[in-house]
Amino acid sequence: MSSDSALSSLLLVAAIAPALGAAASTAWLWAGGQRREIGLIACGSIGLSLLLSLLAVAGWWGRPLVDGVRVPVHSVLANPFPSLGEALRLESLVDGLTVAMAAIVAVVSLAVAIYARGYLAEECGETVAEHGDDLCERPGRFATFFCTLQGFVACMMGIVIAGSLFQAFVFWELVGLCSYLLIGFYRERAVAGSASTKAFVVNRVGDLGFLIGLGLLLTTVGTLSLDPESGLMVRTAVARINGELSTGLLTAATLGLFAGAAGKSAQVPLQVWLPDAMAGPTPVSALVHSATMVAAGVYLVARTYPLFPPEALAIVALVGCATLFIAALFALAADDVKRILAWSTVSQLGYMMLALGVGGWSAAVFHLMTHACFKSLLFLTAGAVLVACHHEQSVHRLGGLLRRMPWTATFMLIGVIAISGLAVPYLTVFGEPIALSGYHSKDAILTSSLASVRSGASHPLLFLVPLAAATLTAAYMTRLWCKVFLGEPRSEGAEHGREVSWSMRGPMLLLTLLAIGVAVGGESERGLLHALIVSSDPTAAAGTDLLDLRHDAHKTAAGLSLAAAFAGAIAAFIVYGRGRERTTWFSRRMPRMVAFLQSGAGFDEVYRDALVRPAFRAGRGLRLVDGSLLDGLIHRVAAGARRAAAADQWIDRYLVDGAVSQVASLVLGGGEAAGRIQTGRLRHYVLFLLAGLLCVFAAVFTLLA
Amino acid sequence: MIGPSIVVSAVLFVCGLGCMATKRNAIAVLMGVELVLNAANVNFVAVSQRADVGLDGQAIALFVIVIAAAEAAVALAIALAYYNAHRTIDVDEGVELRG
Repeated sequence: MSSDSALSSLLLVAAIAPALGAAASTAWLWAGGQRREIGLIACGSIGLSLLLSLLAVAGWWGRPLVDGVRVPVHSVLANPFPSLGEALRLESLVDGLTVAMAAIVAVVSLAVAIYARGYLAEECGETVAEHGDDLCERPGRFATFFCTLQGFVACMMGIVIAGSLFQAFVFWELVGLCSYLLIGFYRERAVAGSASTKAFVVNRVGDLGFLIGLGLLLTTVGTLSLDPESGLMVRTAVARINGELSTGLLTAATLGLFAGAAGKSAQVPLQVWLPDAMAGPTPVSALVHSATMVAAGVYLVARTYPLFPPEALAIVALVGCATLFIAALFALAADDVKRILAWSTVSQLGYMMLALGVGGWSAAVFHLMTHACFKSLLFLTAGAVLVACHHEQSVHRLGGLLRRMPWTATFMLIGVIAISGLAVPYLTVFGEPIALSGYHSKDAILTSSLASVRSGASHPLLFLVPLAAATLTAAYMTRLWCKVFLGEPRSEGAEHGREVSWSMRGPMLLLTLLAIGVAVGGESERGLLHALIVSSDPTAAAGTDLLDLRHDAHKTAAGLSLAAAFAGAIAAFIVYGRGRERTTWFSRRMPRMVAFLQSGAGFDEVYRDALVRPAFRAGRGLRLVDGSLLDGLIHRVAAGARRAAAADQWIDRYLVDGAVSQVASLVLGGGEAAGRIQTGRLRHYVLFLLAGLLCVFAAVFTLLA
Repeated sequence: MIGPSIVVSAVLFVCGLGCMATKRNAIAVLMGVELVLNAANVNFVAVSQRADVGLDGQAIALFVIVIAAAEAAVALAIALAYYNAHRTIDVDEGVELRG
C-alpha cells in the first residue's frame, strides 16, 4: 500500500509544485526581487513537476502485475462536502494514462517556460511599447505571464490526476480561466480581448453539456468517482446489467461529457475559438492551445471511455471525422502562420476523437502524446520566426529564411515531417522503421479506423476521409514550411530575420528530440510510450478478434497513409517549393472558395447572425426595458418625491417658519416701539409722570363720580 | 378749613412739577422735587388736622422730610458724580439711558 500512496503523492506534489511556484513568484516580487528571476522560479517549479512525473512513470512501471495487468492507484484526497456523501470528492487516480499524460504535460510546459523567458524578454522592462491597435506604452507583464503559466500547469496537472469527474470539472474550468487570461495577455489589442471572450464563451457552451452530463451521471449512477473498484465505471456497468440505466440516458450523459470535450478540444461545431486564440503570446499557443489544454477534451473522453455506449461513440467518430477534414481544408487556405498551425491542431484533435470513436483508444492517446510534442515544437519554431521577423505573421510576407535561420528551419522541418507522418518506406534500422513520432501514431489511428470499417462497425468514409486529410495535412504543412523558409524574403521583416538565441533554441531542440524519438518502437513491444499507454487501455480486454483485425489492417493502413502523406507533401512542394509565387492556381481560379475557407467556412458568420446578434439585440431590448420602463418608473417616483418635498418645503418655510418669524418680528417691533418711550431725557419723564397722574385723576373721577 | 391748605399744596405741587419739567439744571430739578415733596407734606398735615387720625399725618410728614434730606444727599452726590464725568449738570445732555 505504501507504494500506492507514494505514487499518488508524487503526482500530487507534481501538481501542487507549479502553484507553489506561482505563490513563491508573487512573494518574490513583494520582497523586492527582480522580475527576470520569476522565469527561473517558473522553470524550477515546472522542472520539479517534470522530475516527479518521470519518477511516477518509473513508479507505475515498477508496480507488480496482478493477473497480467497493473492495478490503478485510486485515493481520496479530500471531501469538501461531507454532507453530500461521496458525490463531490477530490480524488486522484494514477494509471498508465495519468503518468504518461503528466510527463508529457510537464515536459512541454518546461520547454515552453524556458522558451518564454527568451520570447518575452522585453516584458522584463518597466514599460513596453505596444504595437497593437495604436502605439502606446504599457507596463511589462513578465511576472504576470509566468504566474499565470504556472497556475495553468498546476490546474492542468489537476485534470490529469483527477480521480473523480467532479475534480476534473473544477480544474477543467480553472484551465479555461487560465486560457482566457493568457489569450488576453496583450489586453491593449482589441483582437486579443475579443478572442479571449470568444474562447471563454464557446467553452462555456461545451461546459454546459459537461455539467448536464455530470448531473445525469450523478442522479442515475450516484457517483462521479473514477475509482476502478467501486466508481462510476463499475456502477454504470452494474446498472446496465440490472436494466436500471437505459441506453438513451447513458448516451445523453456521455454525449454531455463529449460536448464539454468538444468545446475544449475545438471540435465541430465549437471549433471557432481556437484560431482566434492565437492572439495570445506564441508560447501560450504552444502549450495551452496545442499541446495540453485542448488535448484535455480528448483526455476526458479517454478517461471516461468505458462509459460511452456504441451510439455515443459513433457520434464522437463522426464529429472527429468532420473536424479533421474541414480543419485541414481551412489550414490549407489560411495565410497566417499561427492560424495554419491552429487549424492543424484542430484537425489533429479531430483525428484523436475519430480514433476514440472507432475504438482505437490507445491510438488516440498515443497520437495525443506525440502531437503534444511535435505541435508545441511547430509553435515554438513559428514563434522564433515571428520574433526574428518583427512579428510578420503572413506566410506571403515571409520567405527566404532557410539561410538566415538554419536551426529553426531544421527544427520546423522535423516537426513538419512528424505531423505529416512521413517515413522512409521498406528500410529499417535495428528492426525499426525510419520514422518520426507522428508516423507511428497517425498510422495507429488509421489502422484502428480501417479495422473498424472492416469489422462492419463503421462506414468506409470514416477511413477514407482521414486518409484524404492525411494528404491535406502533409500538403498544408509543406506549404507552410516552403512559404516561410524557401525563396526570397518578401518583406522587410523577413529580410531582417536572424537566428534566435540559444535560450529559445534549447527548448526547441528538446522538443525536436522528443518529436523524433518519443514514439520510438511504435506499437511494437519495444515502444515504451505505447506500452505505457496500453497498460491502462480499457479496450485491451475487447478480445482477440479486434486485435487480429487491427493486425491485418496495419499493413494496408500504413502503406496507404504513407502514400497519402507523400502525395500531399510532393504536390505542395511542386506548387510552393520555388517559394516565389504569391498566388497559386487555386487563389486565381477560385478566389471565393479560398476566401470562404479562410473565413472558417462561415461558422463565425452563422454564429454571429444566429446567436451573437440576437443576444446583442436581446441585450438592447432589455436595456430599453431597463432604460424606459424601470428607469422611467423610478424617475417618475423620484419626481413625485421631489414635488412632495418641494411642497413640504413651502409649508415649512412660509407657514411654520413664517408664523414663528412673524411672532418674533412682532415682539421685536413692539419692543422697539416701547423702547422709544425711554427717551433718556429727564424732563420727558416728568411730563410722562404728569400725564400718568392726569390719567389716574381722570380715571378716579370718572369712575368714582 | 381744609380748602386753603389744599390750594397751597396744589400750587406748591404744580410749581414743583413745573420746575422739574422746565429746568435743565439738575440742581433746579432737585429743588422742584423738594417742592413736590413739601406739597405732599402740607397735604398730610392738613388732612391729619381735619380727620380723626391723631398725629399720623404730622409723623409721616416728618418721615418725608427725613427721607427727602437723604434723597437730596444722594441726588446731590449723583449730580456731583455726573458733573465729574460730563463737565455739566444739564439734564438734557444726559440721554445715555435712552431706549
